[in-house]
Amino acid sequence: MKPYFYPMETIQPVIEISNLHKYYSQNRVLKGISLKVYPGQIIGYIGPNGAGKSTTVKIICGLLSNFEGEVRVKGISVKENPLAVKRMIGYVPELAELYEVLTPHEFLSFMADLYEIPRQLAAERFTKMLNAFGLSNNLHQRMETFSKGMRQKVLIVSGLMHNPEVIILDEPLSGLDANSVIIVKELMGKLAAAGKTIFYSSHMMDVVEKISDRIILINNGVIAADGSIEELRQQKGNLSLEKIFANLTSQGAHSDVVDEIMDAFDFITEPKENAV
Amino acid sequence: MNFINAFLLSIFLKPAGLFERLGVDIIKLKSLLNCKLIMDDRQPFSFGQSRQRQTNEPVNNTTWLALGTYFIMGLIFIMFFFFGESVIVHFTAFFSMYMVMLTLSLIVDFTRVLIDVRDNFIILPKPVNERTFLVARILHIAIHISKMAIPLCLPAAIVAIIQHGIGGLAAFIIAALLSTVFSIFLINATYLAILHFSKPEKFKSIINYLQIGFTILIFGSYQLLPRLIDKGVLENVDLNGLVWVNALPPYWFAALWQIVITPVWNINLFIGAFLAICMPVAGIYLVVKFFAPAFNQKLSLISGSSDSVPSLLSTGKIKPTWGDKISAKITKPGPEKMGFDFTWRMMLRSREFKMLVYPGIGYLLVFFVVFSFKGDGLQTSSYLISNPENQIGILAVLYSPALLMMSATSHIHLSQSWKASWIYQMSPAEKPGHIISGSIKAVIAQFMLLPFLIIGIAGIALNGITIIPAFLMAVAMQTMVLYLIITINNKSLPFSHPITKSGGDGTSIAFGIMALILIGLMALLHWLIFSYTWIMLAVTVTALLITWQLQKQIVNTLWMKINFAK
Repeated sequence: MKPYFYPMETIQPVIEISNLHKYYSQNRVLKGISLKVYPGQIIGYIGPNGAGKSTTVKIICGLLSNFEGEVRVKGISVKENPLAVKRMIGYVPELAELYEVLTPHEFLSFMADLYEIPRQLAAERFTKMLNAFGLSNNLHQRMETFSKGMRQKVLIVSGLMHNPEVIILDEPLSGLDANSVIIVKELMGKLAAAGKTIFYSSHMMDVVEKISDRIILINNGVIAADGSIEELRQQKGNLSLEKIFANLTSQGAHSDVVDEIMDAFDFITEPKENAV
Repeated sequence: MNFINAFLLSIFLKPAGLFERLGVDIIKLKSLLNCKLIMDDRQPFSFGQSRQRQTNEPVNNTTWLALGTYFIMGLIFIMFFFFGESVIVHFTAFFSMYMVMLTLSLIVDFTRVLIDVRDNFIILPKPVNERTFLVARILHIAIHISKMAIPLCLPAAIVAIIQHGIGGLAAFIIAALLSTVFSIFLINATYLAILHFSKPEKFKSIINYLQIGFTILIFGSYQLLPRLIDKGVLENVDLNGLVWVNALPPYWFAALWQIVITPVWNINLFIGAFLAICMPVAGIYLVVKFFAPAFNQKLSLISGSSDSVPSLLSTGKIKPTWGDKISAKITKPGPEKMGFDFTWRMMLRSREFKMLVYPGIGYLLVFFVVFSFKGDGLQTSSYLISNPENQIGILAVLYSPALLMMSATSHIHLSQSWKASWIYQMSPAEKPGHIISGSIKAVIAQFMLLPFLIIGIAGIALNGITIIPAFLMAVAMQTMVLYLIITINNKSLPFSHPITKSGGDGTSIAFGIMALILIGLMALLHWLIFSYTWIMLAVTVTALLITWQLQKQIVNTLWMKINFAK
């Protein structure tokens, strides 16, 4: 396991967020997030729905501009120079959003243009990647008929194609079959070993627990926990990430919820089935 | 990409130097436009395409289909040029058709094609600057509009050049350009109004209603206009003399054209020409200055941000709907009531169902209006039962609700979320026939009750009680045909089949034809016995007995007889 606290003077953080606040009309979504991410780290960014995960991700990617605080990627301010930041980032959105009337070849060629990769080089790269994912026969087929997993693979390729420094993934494993999950997980490890920084937001606690060097848990717009899985265990008792997550984010105990659900059956008064 | 798109793209990219000076990245601009135009070519064509396609067959060459259709529409527009002598009437009529066509098609296309919310996820995270993105969007809209405007105007432009020479053509091009700009302003204003007065979630439904209205309007205008021309209404109008004529925007552009070509001294004409130049300019100013920023901001809401929280519903008592009241009276509790309540709600809420069925209702209304206005207006005397010559007309009215009911019945088994029908297969209901029976009752309640009520009341008001036997027989016969068709044909549970290319599926077309033939036969039988009241009553009773038997048979349908989508 790599240490995640590098001596500050020697290495510049790849992502540096200080005192980030974000409002949606009256709603305060992020309430002062500060964190530093160093090269070669895999960050598991977790939190319940509505905690502010996608908002943070959108801000780092330069998709949202009206926020308070400072966000820098490799020292470049997202506010001042969003284009330079976007060039360094590979983003894989959730929900498999892509233009499905295009073929993967067309889609990825257009995306390559936007990253200023020569078409030839891009075609070589994405053909290799898609082959590896087992999509070599689907290169010129419209994506309308693709399964969610196939679309997700195309999106992963489009996020990695320009060899970005920072890779931001939003639920990258959703819809993938078991073999592809293994491939993507190993790929993340290899990319991190090659010095890339991976910022990975997910609900799948077991995956996050296994592959992340560092886990950041946000709840209600603030960081609730930050550290490697070992450190979190030391701090919060020797529990699984799932349990730690539950303890930090749920208002009532889960067992109460379960009891309420079971109560709905009203076991005592219900007559026995097949009594007649 | 086909050559029309390539050609238009090269034209619109001519001022590349200017774009570059504005800070646009030309290579990325080209790539974005290429991508968008290829996608356009594979989107189903919107015009008259109120039904949403869902098919595995890829769509190709939409551009050519669109160009051809718009050109034919353009040819239809110029038919006005051959009636009467008044140039101003010709061009006012032309610009009316043109602007209505353009505005309504663009309203639909704007969200569907031109402003794609997926751009936010796909293009914005890429290193593309805002100028490039904005210019790409504007050029895409411009190319899209030219693909409509040019074929729509081409026939009229040819007429203008033949009748009035090069000057006529030049004036026409200017007038057409200004009217196009004004239409764009109107669309922008409509969008903002809709977004202002409604919630973003409702936006798509409103656009769909507009689309349905659009289809009916086009259909209606092609029914009504030739009749107006027939009667010489258009030939005898002195447009320039009408006081309120400048309330019609199409008149402005016609006035501008006439002032350039054959000036006549008329105050309305001058006001019109003045407005033709001022209003588009003012419109563009408003769009650029105020509308566009608000527009983009509001549009981003349509996509439904993932951070929005569903509003809490009040936990008060739920008021029973009309459907609940009716179902309590005419269905048995259990699967039949479920079938009724489910179908009732789905018919009112499912966007696809409405898109498939409501235009048909509109057509029916148009037909009614067109055929009722014989001669000088609606003549109630033609629906008096005392005159035997009126029998056919009366029967046509009495049997018209059948069309509504058939249209609804032939679509209730279709849904975009047909996969949710697994729930039927998992349910322990013994007789799925109950569900079908409930859904038929829902169709009758929603689509036949009201028309029959209106027809019945109107009939009694006109004819007194003498109409009652005929009315009852018509109701009984149509109900019987409905049950008959379902028994023979359609053993599908409501909303359990996918929607295919034609909007329905093969069975629903066969279903429709069979229903029409049966209804026709019943109406013919009715006509033959129209004068014999007792026979009519006997037939009514027989039809009701048969219906009752059929209903029993449908209820007893077994699981193995039910069609499920594969």
